[in-house]
Amino acid sequence: MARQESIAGKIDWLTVFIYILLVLIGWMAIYSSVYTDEGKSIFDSGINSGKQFQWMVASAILAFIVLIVDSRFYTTFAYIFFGFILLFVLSVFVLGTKVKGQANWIRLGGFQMQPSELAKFGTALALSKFLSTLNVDVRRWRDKWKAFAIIGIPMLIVAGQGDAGSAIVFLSFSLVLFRDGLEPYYLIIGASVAVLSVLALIFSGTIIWTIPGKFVLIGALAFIAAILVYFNWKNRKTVMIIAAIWVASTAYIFSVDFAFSKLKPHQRDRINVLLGKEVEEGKDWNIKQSIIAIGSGGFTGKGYLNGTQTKLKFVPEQSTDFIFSSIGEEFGFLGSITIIVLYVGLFFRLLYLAERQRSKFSRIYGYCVASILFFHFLVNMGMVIGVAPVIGIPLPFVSYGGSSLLSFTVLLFIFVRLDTQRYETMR
Amino acid sequence: MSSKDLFKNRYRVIQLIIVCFAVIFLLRLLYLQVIDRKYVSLARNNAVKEVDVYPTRGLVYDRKGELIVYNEAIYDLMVIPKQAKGVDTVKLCELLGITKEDYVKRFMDMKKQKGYQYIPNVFFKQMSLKDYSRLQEYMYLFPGFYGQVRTIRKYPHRVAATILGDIGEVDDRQIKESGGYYKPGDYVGQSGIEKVYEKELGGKRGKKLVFFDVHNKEAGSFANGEYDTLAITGDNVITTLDIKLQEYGERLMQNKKGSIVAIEPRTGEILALVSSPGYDPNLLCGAVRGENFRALLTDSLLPLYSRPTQATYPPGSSFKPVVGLIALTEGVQGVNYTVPCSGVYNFAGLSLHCSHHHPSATNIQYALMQSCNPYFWQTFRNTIENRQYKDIHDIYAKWIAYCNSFGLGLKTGIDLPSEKSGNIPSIKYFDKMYGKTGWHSSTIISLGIGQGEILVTPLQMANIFATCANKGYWVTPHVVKKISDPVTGKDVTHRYEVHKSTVDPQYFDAVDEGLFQVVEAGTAKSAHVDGITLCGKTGTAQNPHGDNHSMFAGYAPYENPQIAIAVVVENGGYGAAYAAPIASLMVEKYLNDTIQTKRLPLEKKMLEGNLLNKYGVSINKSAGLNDSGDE
Repeated sequence: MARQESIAGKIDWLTVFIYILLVLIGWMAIYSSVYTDEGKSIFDSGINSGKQFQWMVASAILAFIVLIVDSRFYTTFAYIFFGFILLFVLSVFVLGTKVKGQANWIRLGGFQMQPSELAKFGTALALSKFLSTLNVDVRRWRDKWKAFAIIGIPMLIVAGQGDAGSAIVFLSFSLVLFRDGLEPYYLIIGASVAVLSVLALIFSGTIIWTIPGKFVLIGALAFIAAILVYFNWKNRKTVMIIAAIWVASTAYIFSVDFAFSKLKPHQRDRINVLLGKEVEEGKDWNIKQSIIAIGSGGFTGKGYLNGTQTKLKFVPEQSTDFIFSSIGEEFGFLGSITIIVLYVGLFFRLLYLAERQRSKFSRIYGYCVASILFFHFLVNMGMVIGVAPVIGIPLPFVSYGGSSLLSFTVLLFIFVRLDTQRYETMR
Repeated sequence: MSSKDLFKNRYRVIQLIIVCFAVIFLLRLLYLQVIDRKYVSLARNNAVKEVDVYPTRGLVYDRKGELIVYNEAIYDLMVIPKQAKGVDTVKLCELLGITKEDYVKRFMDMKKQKGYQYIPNVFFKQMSLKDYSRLQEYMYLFPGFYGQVRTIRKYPHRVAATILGDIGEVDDRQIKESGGYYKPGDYVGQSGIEKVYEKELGGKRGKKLVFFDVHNKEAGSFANGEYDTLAITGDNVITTLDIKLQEYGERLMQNKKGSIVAIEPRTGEILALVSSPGYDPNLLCGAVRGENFRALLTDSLLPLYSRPTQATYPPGSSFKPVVGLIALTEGVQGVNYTVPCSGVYNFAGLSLHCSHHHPSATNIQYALMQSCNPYFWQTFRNTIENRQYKDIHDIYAKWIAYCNSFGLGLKTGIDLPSEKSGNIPSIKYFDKMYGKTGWHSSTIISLGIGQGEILVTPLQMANIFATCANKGYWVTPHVVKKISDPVTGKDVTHRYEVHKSTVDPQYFDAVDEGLFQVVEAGTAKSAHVDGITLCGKTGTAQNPHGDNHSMFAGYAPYENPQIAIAVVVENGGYGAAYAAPIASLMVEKYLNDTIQTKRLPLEKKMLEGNLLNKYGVSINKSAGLNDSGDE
């Protein structure tokens, strides 16, 4: 008992408080999204809110277990966890069942789960372990490649299973690497590539003054390059670099065009919806209805269980990926601010906690947790309010779903546990 | 600089990235939720729809308060397929009298519609209350199924189809004319009273705002019905018809083509308006309407055609009173004017024959009684050759005006659709035919006995005799007496125009006396009824296509006219053969309510009279039609 009390005294209750708040808000929103006038109870296990309640109880138990296990357990067995989880994720190729067109679910006894949720957690442990190893420096090529491999292998496996959403989340680890010394230009190049991709997609297929759009884009870049070359004429090296970047961009624009044509039709549609291009009638239904729901909420919202878009089921997948549309409709802009403030508060708190760790492992793991949650928040919210393409990943702690709630809980509470032991050792 | 310090600002960079995205999201949400208000109406349009609430259609009564058109509740068995789980199909099939295969097929047929699983589909159409209540006992065995009540029109007397009319779906033209009030799928009156009094009978549609979910399923009313409006029930219509008389008339006319028009002379109220062959108006109600309508439309006897107001015939001898009255008014001859009749009338090189053999007429009464053709040829000639007028154009124009004042050559203005005006040949017409100076009294002499280009409807024919009965005026004939609001009980009685004929009223006494003699001792003796002073005139309209049309028109009683009547039996031969006896039976029925025993054989003869072989039909085709009723 004494031991537990001592843990309780060291737990960062602010983090736990925000976590509980988000879970409860999510639970209410899930009830609202499945609510009909039949008036079933929020605990009714026939509807999603009742099931979510069971997951919440399971999460509480799991969080408790995580808190009483010595954190050395995770640091010691990090690679082993990683190995087992990789095997588990790979097993999907053999044992996987299809749910909504994605073969990345596995049936365990009575329930299904997505191993990709675990993959993020395993990768976080392995990456923390690797980067905290003595003399490993991510600025060195030898170590850089190893770090990339730890992130890239599970990412490719998950992507190979058709779960593009979860694969994208692995990009969040680049923030961890950045914090630990990765040169900034990796992020700059990454951001530039992203911008160039969007531009290439916008211009591809369009025709401007009878010239195909992508040539206009290439021409515009050439114009910018020419101006830069004019001002740096004397510096041969810079001119060469500018020319090389332009050539690379041109090649990239063509390859984006090609890659886009290789995407699955529904993925193409999702990107086209976002870019405001014409899509087949009804393909943009989901995002349209989500935006109508949120937009119609107004400043104060329509009131709990009174959202027409929500109650009359106009937003498909509302209790899972589109849960925010229910909150936006029923609680309005004030509700939206609350959610965003809670998340930003959680991220800031996690970064603050990470920075105060004396153990390198704990700090890196803290960054991993913050980055994963942040990416989920970014991609999910961006999708629901129509500023990012439709990528089906859940809003952490809020969306309906057992595997996501359990794995986010474990992910978070291991860090809370590490934090309680921050004075014990220097690992 | 230690590496820790170097990376300290990276912590700040990551914080900055988070804040940047959070601000982007907040700005986007600010725009969506606070600045751009269009989403409020988009969400409302998604969820709230205006649903029409249809009023009950007004009822129709006859002049004695007998209900002749009402609404009957029928039930459609509806199903929401998604909810139809665990249905006792054996029991349901047994109750509906359908096979298991039929049951499956009915579900297959629904699949054409998108989202059919979530919306109400009609599973079984138009059950009677009796069938439905039997089904209702077992409804708990059929989850997802429920009954939906609708109404259809019912005509308990099964007569007067063309007067009462029918209701059917609006067409594009009607939707356009209504200025958007009607919507596709609405039912409105398409003929008869149902059409003319649509505004009164139809009531006013209400609307309610209802929530619909994404599957288009109703999900409660919007704002507790605050913005809903009630449907206003249609007004009741009290007609002038005597439905018993109408029924009797239709029976008398069975297996004959033709019309009966009975008018109350004083008021212009139509007592009966028989169009034969008719049809059971229930045939055009409910599910069987389309099929029956096509069958009626292609029937060679044209049952959809309203003969009393739309068929036109040369009036023949029934027109003679008008010819006489005009001549008397013009002063070209007196009541006691005599025309010697030898059976042949020689005039302007013509040699015309009188169809009757009788002593020469010494006054107009006798001429009418004997229906003497030479008398009226001469009378017409006297009128047209009147020297007081500049030329024939002048006098003929006057003559047309006299005819018009009897309602001839013009629509009478009856409150039924598509009335025909008949024909009084115009000056223009004769000018065109014969040249401006090429026509004389001899050219148009046949008008004097109601033959030639002159055409009248049976309604106009009855109206002539209503005018005679009233001694000089007629009231616009009409079938609706008053409109009654079923809620307030207030009645609106229509006023109908009184038309004065331009002939001198003093001469009606002589003419009426002649018409009385016609039945007493003249050409219509077969129409004589003991105790009833029936006045009238037979007519035999020449028919180039076959046997002559039998006609009779008159009124009764002489002293105090209660009913004016016109009967046309196509291809019935002389007026005395069919038309006069049928008219007398109608009059007797109306005035005495029974037929005298000694006249029963005549009644039987008329009821059994069958002219179908003359129309090239051997069986009554209408008998093969389906009736929606379950009686």
